[in-house]
Amino acid sequence: MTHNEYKPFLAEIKDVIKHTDKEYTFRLTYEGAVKPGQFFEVSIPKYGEAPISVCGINDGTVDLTIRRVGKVTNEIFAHRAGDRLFLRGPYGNGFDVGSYKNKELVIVAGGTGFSPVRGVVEYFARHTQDIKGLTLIVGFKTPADILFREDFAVWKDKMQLILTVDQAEEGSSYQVGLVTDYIPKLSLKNAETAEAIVVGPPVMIHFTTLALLKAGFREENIWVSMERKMCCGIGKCGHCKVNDTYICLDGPVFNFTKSRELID
Amino acid sequence: MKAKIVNKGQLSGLLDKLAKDYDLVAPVKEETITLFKKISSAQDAFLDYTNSDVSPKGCFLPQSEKIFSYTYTGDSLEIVKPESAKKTVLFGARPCDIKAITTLDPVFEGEKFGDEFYSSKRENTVIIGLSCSKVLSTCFCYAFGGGPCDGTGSDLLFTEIGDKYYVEINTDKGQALVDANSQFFSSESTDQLAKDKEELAKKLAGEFVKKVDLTGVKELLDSDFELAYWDEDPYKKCIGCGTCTYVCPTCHCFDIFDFTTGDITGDRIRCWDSCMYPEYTLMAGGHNPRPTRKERIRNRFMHKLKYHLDRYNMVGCVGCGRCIRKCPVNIDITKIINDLKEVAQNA
Repeated sequence: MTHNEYKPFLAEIKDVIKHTDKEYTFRLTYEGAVKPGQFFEVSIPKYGEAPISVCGINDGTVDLTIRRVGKVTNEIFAHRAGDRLFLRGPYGNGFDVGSYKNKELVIVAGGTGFSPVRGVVEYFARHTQDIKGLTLIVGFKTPADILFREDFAVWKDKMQLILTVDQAEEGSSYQVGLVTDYIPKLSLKNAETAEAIVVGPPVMIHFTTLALLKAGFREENIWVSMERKMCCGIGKCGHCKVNDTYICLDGPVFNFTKSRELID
Repeated sequence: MKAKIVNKGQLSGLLDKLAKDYDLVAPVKEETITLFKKISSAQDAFLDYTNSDVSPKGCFLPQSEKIFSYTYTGDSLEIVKPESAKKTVLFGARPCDIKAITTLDPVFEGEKFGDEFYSSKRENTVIIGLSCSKVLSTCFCYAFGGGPCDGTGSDLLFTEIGDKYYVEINTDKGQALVDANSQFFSSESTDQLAKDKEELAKKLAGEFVKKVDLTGVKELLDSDFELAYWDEDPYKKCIGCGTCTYVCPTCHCFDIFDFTTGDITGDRIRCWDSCMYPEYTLMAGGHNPRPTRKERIRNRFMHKLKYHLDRYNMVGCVGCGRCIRKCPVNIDITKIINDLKEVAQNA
């Protein structure tokens, strides 16, 4: 056997950034081409593999934001800087940053759904001259669930940033409301030519795309990153297949004209 | 087409020779179950069968398969590479099951990523088919373009006629096997046996009990995802046991997990999985896009009748009838097809 697609490689943890009790970002060594929205299969022998989106791309490292929800991710959380994890990938199509250049872009994200699109935001935060206008609407359940606080502090001067929570205690300084509440209030030069990216739970994606269409966005200008259970990551094992489409292979980023056809 | 003859008296000699030169996989009977296994001599082969309970897809996609072994000490991982496939002969597979293997090819060999576990077995295996001599009451291969004597996908196809096997040589791989074992193949004229085989194929074609008509079914499934039919039978009957997926020769889903063999050693394994289980699509965060058996049943039959065709332009069912024979609650894909045809006609 000359090539084993399922064989992982070692990656060293350079840093662990703790957002909440359940969500950490692991900065791992990785040299190679990778796009925001792609994913790696992260594994630890004895525990198995878990698919994790790329949420940041740096010189020689990638950031993977991981939510502790199962056997593998529990074990990953026991790892510290200097330890090593195993990776396969990157897999999936990811976002093509170039396709949003010189356009108005609205990004709507919910919860950990922000991870796959964070690389796009970061790119345009660094290259503000490449974009006509960037609006980021991010929603979390409560103030305690907010991830990437430091990013938002840096980004608020570089884009129109709307950070909102579904609920907060009285007297909280956070805006309270669903991400969809802010879509009719968007101030765009031309909604018809503006692009939008939507990532988050399925219900949030559904209502957000409806609101965007109502606000005048064209279907073909809306992009969605879909989530499904993934296993092999290379279009063989069947877990993420919806209709005749492998989310891991053909996606996870789809144009809305395609994603709206992907029904289970 | 090139053809040869093997006299029945020569078959055990041929199989013994193949068992010496190759890993020889053939149908065997274990208690009441017929399945495909590696055999060491001709006497282990069980050829008096209509079709096996377990299909030979495991020759290429084993029920569980090591994708590597590891020794892990926390900071280093020594991965033991899996071996390449051995030279193998799969003998005695029925035409429907061979056709099923061809439907797996584009999944594992095509597109962006290959899969050497599958392709190395495929490349190193000579498939010798065996035409059916009987049709089971659950067979319906004809509905998907197959037939009891159809050689599609085989390197050699043996058809039993009287005291002889008529052997069609369908590929160079098959020819090479014949050349290397020419002492078992008679050079007498095959003209009469070719005619006899046609007669047999015609006779068997008239013996199918299951009448299956796919007219309008694909078009219906293309146009309407939310058919009321999916709320009725078979959803109400299904108990979600997953048997249909394990016996199906075209089902190819698998899961990957780690199997610990010691403190720091283990194997990463892939093993057959089933879309009929809720865990199959359940995400770590708790969301399940196919939460009930309704969605799972619909997905399974849509895969067989539509999705595989859409993606690979190949049928997703070969009409072997195993799911009909093994389903504990008598869900019958031919009934589903005919029901859908009726829905399409009345639409």
